[in-house]
Amino acid sequence: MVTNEQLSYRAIRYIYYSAIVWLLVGMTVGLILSIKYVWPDFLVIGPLQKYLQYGRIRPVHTNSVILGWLTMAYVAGLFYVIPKLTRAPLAHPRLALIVGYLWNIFNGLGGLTLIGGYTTAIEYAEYLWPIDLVFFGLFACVMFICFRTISNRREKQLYVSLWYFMGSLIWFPLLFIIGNIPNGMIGGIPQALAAWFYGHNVIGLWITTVGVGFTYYLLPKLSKNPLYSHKLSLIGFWTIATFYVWNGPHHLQNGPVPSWLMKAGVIPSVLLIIPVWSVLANVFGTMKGKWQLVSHDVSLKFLITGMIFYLITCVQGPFQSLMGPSSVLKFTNWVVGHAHMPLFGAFSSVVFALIYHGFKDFAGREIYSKKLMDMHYWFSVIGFLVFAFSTWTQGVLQGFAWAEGKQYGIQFVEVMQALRPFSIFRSAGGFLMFAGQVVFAYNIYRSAKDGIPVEKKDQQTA
Amino acid sequence: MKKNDPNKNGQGYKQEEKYHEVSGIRMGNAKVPKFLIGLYLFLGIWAVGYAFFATPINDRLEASGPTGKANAPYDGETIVQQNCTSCHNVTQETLVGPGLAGVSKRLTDEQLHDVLMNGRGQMPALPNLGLDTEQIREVMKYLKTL
Amino acid sequence: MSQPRESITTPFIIGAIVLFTTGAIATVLLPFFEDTMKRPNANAEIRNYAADSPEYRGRQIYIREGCHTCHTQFVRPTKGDMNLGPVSVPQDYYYDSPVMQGTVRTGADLMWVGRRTSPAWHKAHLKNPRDVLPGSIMPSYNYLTEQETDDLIAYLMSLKPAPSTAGTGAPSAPIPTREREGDTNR
Repeated sequence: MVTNEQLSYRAIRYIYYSAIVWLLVGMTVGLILSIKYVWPDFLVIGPLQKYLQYGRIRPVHTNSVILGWLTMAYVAGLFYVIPKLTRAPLAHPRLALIVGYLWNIFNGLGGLTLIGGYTTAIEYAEYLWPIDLVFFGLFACVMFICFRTISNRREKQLYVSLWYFMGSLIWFPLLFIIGNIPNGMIGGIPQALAAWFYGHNVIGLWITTVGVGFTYYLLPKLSKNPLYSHKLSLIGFWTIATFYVWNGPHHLQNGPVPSWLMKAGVIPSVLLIIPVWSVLANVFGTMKGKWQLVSHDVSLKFLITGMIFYLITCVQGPFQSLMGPSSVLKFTNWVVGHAHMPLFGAFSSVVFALIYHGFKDFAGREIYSKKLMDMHYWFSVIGFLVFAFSTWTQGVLQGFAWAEGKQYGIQFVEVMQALRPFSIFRSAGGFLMFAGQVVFAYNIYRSAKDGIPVEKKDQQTA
Repeated sequence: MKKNDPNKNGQGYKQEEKYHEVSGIRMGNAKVPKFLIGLYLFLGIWAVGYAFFATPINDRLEASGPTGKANAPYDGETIVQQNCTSCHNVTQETLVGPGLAGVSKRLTDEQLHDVLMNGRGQMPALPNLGLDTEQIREVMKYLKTL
Repeated sequence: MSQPRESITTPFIIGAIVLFTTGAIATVLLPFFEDTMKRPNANAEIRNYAADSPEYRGRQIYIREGCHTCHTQFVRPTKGDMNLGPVSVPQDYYYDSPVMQGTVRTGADLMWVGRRTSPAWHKAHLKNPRDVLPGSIMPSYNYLTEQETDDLIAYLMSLKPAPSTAGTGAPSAPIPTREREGDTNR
């Protein structure tokens, strides 16, 4: 007899493992892109030239890490954490597994169409509308499963994480619709605004909010301290819900938007400091007296590192949304580095923490090697820092070179050549990040195959 | 799915009734730290100030009004620096086109004016560069000093 | 001691929807009603390509090959965009769907590229960018057919300001003298 728990853990395992595969795919593509940035003739061999051409695979990279890796891992995480918090079994675990299967097909299909040159040309919403529809259907199933589980709950009180999850589950599909209105139905600057509404908020109201929800779940579990302040978590939730939605227009800073709209975009971007610092104060307050645990527990190490990167992201973000800094940094590689920080530095780290933490539960086995966990951590963090600092430096150099007038032609190329050493560093950092994930995938694979089975009665969440 | 035993895990936290427990997670009731309240106030004031007083960046001299030319440079040297030096050196050396030094000795006033107004070979006519009559006159004046 | 009382989902669901909708209306819906976004200008008319014109087909190739992932079409009134031509205004993009402003300048801005380049330059540059601009990291597009290359060039050459843009919101800017970008090499 298969219990509901076994079924749901099967779904969770399947979705997590698929997500890790997409992480490797996405990062391989990213690595190819960064090498092409140094040697444009890299992999220009026969048909590969056309199908691995920079402009075609760049969206493959972004889509497979956002919708393939992070979103899938988030869905698995939701399926794991929501039953824990509601003390109710996951609703419809069989449907959850089917969602996992179809999600893989969706990712594969999307990637192939992009390589074939079928794209909407709207950044982060490159998939054509039929593929969007598949995604929308899948996400509707995820919503259904999650909300059914929440309404079946046996714990009356809704814990902080659940607020974030409910909000995100509502926001993401709405965002997705607005961002993916097909070309022809919308165009010009209004389309750019709709696209950035989606492009920014997919980070803000899905990646960030679910990730913060996971953090609120993991932090008290891993630190074994009570959550510092309930009031701060309330402030954090409602302010992020208020301010994040407004951030789209700052992507057109100094551009063709009316000044009221620019202000309506920039002010909330800066006010985002409120939710971020409130969450961080809660994190640090909760960690009080337990900092020594960080050195022993890789999960906690990832979680805290993720939160620190989250803090840095949200110091950078408001800063570069302002007119002056934006006039220098916009369109440069600075933004590339910034965009990687919430996705990789902050919330991928949170997911790593969640996977390591929950593995005993959903796989019923211990992690194969703690050494490899540590390697995963250090490769990821050092690789990311090398990557990020080289892009930031490049960005500043580019911004000022352009302001000197080197805006096209050979002068522009000379600026790009001056950036080459940093591009090499960027590839090296990227390679280290990638190596970290290979170690991670191997470790999870070995754990799933021959990790020491956990005895049922020892199976505790803590 | 088991409840965490607060007594087992709450090292150093004796007063268990201080915490409200949800789903096995204890929640504290710490007050909002003072520095955060200060931060909220500061950002609030900044936001109001920004809403009223921020003005868009405009580094384009000529983009300042519908006429577009109100603040355009009328100084020959600046105009030449901005428009000509990518093809011409102000010395005698040839870049893409010939060096500008001594151009007034090689060409008569009339010929120079003709080149500026109508272009020559690869060189575009100055009016096509968006320069008006007065600016072209300034360019002439400057070129004669070289 | 206050007891937290978040035991029903409704306030969260309603709150989330209301806050979301407010932001969406303000930053996505209201701009539709901005005057500047409701009508095209002369520049936009140039970019209103008839279906199956070379420019239109060229634009499809521009999209297919992902040129917008490295090239912006977005000129700001900032120092960094001083030489790029007229500052872009909402009217310029009126017929642009998908809008291809771009986000990263791995390559130069192309908003008005037709003004500073020639078809012959593009032909050589697309075949092998490094022949024309040594050190460039742009991929070569030698796998495009002759027809596709010509269409793409037709599109690129169409990206220029209308002869008279006065009074339509596009301030004029001095055009740099470079006839061909490669010429600035020596």
